[in-house]
Amino acid sequence: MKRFFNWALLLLLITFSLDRIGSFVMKELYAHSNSTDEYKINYVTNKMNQPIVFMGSSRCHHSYVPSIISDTLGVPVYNAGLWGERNIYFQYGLLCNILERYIPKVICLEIHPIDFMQTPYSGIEHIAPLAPFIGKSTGCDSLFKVEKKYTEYKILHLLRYNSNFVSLVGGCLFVKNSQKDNGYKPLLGITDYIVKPDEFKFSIDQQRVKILLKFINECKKKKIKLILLCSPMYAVSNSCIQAYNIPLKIARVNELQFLNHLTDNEFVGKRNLFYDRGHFNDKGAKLFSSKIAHELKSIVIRKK
Amino acid sequence: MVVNSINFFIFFLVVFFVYYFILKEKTKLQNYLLLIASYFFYGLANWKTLPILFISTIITYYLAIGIEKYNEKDEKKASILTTIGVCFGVGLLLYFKYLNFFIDSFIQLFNIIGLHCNKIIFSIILPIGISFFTFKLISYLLEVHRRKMGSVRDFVAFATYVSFFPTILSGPIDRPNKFIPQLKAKRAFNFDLAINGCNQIAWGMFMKMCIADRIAIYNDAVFNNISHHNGFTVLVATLLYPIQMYTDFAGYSDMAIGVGKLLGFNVTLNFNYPFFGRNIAEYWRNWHISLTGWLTDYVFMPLNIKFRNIGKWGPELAILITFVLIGMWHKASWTFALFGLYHGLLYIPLMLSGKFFKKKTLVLNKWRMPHIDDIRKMLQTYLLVAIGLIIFRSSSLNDILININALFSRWGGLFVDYVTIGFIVIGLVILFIHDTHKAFNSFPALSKIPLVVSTSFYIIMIILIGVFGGDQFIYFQF
Repeated sequence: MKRFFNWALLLLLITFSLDRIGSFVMKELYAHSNSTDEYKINYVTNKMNQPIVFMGSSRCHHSYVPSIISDTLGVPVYNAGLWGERNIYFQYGLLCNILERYIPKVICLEIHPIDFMQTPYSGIEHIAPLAPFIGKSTGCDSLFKVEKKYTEYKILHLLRYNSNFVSLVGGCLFVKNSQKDNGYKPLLGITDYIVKPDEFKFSIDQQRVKILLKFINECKKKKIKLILLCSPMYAVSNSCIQAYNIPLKIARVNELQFLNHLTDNEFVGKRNLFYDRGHFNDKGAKLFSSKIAHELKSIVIRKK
Repeated sequence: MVVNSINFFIFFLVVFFVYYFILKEKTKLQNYLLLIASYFFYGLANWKTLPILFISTIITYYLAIGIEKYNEKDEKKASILTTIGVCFGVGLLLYFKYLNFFIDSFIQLFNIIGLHCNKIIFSIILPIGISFFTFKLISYLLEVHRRKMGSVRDFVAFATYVSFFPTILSGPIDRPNKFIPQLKAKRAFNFDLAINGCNQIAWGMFMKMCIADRIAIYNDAVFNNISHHNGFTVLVATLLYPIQMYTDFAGYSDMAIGVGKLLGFNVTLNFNYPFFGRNIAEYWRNWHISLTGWLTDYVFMPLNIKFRNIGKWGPELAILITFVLIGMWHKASWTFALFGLYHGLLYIPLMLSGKFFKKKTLVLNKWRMPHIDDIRKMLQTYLLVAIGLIIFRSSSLNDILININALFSRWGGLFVDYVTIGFIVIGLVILFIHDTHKAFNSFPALSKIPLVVSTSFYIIMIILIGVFGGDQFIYFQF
């Protein structure tokens, strides 16, 4: 049995050594990768310095064109939105990491029902892409503790890069640049199928609302002007319209601006402006950015 | 409690510690511990069905004692007791697994012939692992009746054999004459067996988490939205499915065997590189070996003898029945019967040509790889298996047609998720190297790598590319 314990000890030793060597290599790959997800999270966390930042999920990533908004406002803008189900847990974790380094003047948060309802995409596990930045901020770390992954990540550094290997290697070898227009990613093409609107018949989730409120409070604490946004969808259901009453109420209580364009007739139902039912194509994004820039101008300039 | 979870790891550590440090070599007490651990493990899956496991174990235990007693005195009574026992085991399966299926099928039949019936469905909880433990019970009775072994007079040892926690949920189906003697023997800690077991567990987890669950991400995306995908994409997913099945099930089997080894047991081998089979018979000889071996001994052989007087078609009929039963063993559904029939029909040309009875040794080339002609045959067999799994995967006869139709629908570019495909390729390369090395010793240098290093490598790969929180094991549903 003693021999077995020695063997097990050796196994642990080799595994931990490989874990540390592997995580060092992955960290390097992460720092040099141009793949959209990793590049953007890394840039936003470690390099972004624009005073106006857009945050949110894919509907932010593909809707707000920084160059257009920047031209109107006269200040640099960065689109920190990211495709995938980047719910409020992810946004809050990312915000905490950003605030460790610098404080933007304005944050525009594109809000979505995954941020306050019990949808299948609302889970806390969506903070996993922030695992490489464990230790960066207590706010983000606290989420990993709630998820009960913090200790695992602390012990096994390589686990922080779980499922990143292929995109990191690809991002280092094949992708040249993901930074075309300050984080904005255009979607090219026109929605090509009959679109049924998304239904959001989910109940409100107090846990997520709590995180949304934490996001708001963090901004208040750092004197950041927070604006809630909702961009148009190609097709909108009644349940979706009703779902947005929740952020509307939150905005009212917290004295925030909420620019709700969900049912904006200028865009809704116009096939040539949409890539799919929830996302603008490049043409739609440019048009919408121009509109939102003018709205923001009055708010931001008034703020100045 | 899934075998590849932290909870199982903690549970096993406690069992391992008590087993070797407190109970040491006290076989009886070790068996008590294994029995309690097994019932605890089974109860966690569904405590409501624990009494079924317990009662069926008691009944079989006493029936076997009776069979042994009458084996010497009164052969007829022994046969009656065996028949009762087998009927009881089959009855359990019929009631819990097949009753609703048969009722539903009869109602459909009556409706077709114009006798309209109301649909009756009983709410029956399917005891998890029933297909596995009833087969253990039946084989025990038959072995005692055939005088291949004596009845066990130690209830704890017998109940431990039936409920042994690494294998109760998904096999392998251990034979009593191989496993029960191990329960009676002294079990001191065996270093070589234990480190081998650790390596096998790590490899099993790698197969499940790095290959099966990765392919599942791609295949779920395709099969769950089959109408949105073109024929080429459906074809790729269809071709990946046999590997998903293999790595999922063989992965579980490896983990179960590995856990058994750590406790000092040699659990039955369940997979022996089936995709190196050059025909469907070679494939089945190496796929789910414990089930096919069971059905060969207790169904095919007796039927083959019974059908001798039918003449030339006797063995063919026996094989068709055996394979339909193999299909139906998985699930009470006509699609599974069809799956079995499909494989049975693939056997017929082999039986008629005599290839079924000949075991041709595989000759390797100078790189210790099979020759091109053998590789071609392996690929052909793989293709046949992949086609069969279309039936296996389909939930209804109509679904089979939809799936086949999707293969021939509009042709176009492959649905590509580069990241998932990249991970699948990495997994497949490692699987290929591992399996060819184990089967043919194709990479002799790998034999020099110490087990501790290869085990560590598998663990690191799981941490780096494994899917955490992936799908349940496919065979848990059976």
